[in-house]
Amino acid sequence: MYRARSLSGLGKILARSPTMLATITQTRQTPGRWLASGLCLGAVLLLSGCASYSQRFDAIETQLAAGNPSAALQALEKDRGNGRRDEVLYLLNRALLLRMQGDYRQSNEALEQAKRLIDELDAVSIREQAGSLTVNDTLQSYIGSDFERALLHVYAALNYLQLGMPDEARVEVLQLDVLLNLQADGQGNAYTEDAFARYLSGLVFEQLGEWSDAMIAYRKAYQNYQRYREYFGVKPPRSLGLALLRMAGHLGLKEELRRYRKAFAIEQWTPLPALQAEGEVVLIISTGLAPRKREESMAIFAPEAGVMVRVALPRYETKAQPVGEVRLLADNATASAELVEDIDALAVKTLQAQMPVITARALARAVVKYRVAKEAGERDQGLGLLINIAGMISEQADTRSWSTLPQRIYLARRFLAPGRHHISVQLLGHGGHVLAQKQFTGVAIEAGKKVYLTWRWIPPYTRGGKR
Amino acid sequence: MANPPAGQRPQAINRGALKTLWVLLLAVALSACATKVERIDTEEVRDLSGSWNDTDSRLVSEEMIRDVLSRPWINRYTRSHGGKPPVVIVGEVRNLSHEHINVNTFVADMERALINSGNVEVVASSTERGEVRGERKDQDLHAREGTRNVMGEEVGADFMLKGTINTIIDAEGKKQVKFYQVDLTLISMADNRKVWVGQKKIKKFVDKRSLRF
Repeated sequence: MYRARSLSGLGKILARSPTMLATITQTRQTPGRWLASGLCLGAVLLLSGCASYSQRFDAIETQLAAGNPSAALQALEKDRGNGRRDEVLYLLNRALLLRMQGDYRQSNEALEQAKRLIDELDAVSIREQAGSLTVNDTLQSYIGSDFERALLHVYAALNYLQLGMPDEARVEVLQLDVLLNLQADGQGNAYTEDAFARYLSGLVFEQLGEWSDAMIAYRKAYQNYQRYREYFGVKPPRSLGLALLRMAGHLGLKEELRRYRKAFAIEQWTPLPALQAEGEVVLIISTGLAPRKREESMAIFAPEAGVMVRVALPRYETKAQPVGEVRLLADNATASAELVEDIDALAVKTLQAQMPVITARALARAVVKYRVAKEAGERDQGLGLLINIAGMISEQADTRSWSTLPQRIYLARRFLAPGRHHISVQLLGHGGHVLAQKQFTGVAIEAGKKVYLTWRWIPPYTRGGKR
Repeated sequence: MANPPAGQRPQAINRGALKTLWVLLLAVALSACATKVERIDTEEVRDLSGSWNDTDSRLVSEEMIRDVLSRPWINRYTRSHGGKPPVVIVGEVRNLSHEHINVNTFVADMERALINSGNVEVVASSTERGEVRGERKDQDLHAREGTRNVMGEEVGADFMLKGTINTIIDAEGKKQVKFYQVDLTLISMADNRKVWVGQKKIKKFVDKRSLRF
């Protein structure tokens, strides 16, 4: 598809500039030049042959929409991307696909590998910087954006929680804390930490009975959800309010208790000791697929030099969001799960913040390519044209992103009496109709313990939204 | 390639030097391709990433073993129990650190040292004894009378070894200070008394590289 688009684009460019066509016919001069031209053409064909990352993900997305994560994993294994510089992305996608199949252990192995590799690749590479300034941004090793690196630990923690290893989940939560603090250090005021990651951290500490650590994590989650409300339209969840009240009450923080009561408008809640006889079910429902990056490009003709300049930039393309409400039925009572993470909004805002740097790099690249083509053109018009074409086609936007992430994450917490319970979840569309439902039968609840139930739903259509 | 005329000697040297350089570069490039294995002593310190590694585990077990065997709890127990050595069971060593640390390495080292000292007995931990009990049950049904080990004859432990690993991490940019503290405790099963507390602290400064090729 990329090839067709780029070639038709090339045709248009050539048709628009007869001077360029003329130069092609003038290139029959020396065999040395022909060799150079041949090399350039070869490079052009080679580059046009590799579709962008985002396009290669189509096969995986089709399988996921068909409800077939194992086939999606096969598709991923078949196409691991461009070696080491896409390795992190491959590992992240692999981890989530394995998680979808319920293979939490292997999923964590992949995440652990990704962590190590990110650590290694975090240093600035001189070679890759040079490549990204002269060829394109995809020559840089992918190490994930800030929110993706936070979610890496979130998923590792969830995997451990579902494996029944809360201490290991605690390790992830501590690593997350170091990461989020480092990220916050490097950012301005507009930056928000991952509020859901903080909320989950609180859950892990609460499960281990570390009340003060849980309080700190919940408090940080609340602070960041207030920013979420401002930037992404995600309110602080009521379940977080209840957790804050329980912890503040238990730790004797009267002033905070009063504040949270007012902020969440909660009149009555069950204090912590009264809940110790019950068990809790934590339901985490992820819907859809994260937005994909697409390439947007623009070509400008510089007539004085007879050189075309092309600039390609990434843009997020969000999919339609069909879920209006997530309803939970347990013990003949219904409740709604709350939105805790809107990855659509996170991704779009993150890219927006990165755009000035990406654009500056693309422009710098355009200048380099323009000068090389111009100087070559002054010596030999044919060679100049070919270098110009190679430069234009090699200009690709970096469309890599962790595309197996969900679009949204919902969370619900329910305290239930010890014993076996039947829990069912319904996803309702915007019109109130049932989109999908899932039954969890025989969920064993133990007093003072937490059970994590997760469900990933991907709507059975692939190409939602606008292109 | 023909020999250069006598007047162009300096250029010939240059060419020769260039050739050598190419060969050297090629050799360097190729040598990096092959997997290299080098056996090193288990005592040798090699820090790669700054994470918890074998050296840390060894330092912990050396310190703990030295400490646990030199303290008075063993003699006190033996004296008050008519010469019977104390029996220890290994409980949980909780990893409360920032890393996924395998605690089995130094716990196994300690177990070995305790048993080899001859002054302490160690019984199988709760995770190990499941299989042993299964086998005993099986013997009850299938083993010959004289070789059968009956159930209900296990030795009860007098002390339980428990512990935690904690870390404090201070990070800024590419620099990190990592502080590990390992605490091990022997708790008396009879009355919850702590008869021994061992501690090992390790501190590291990690400065990650900020440039790569």
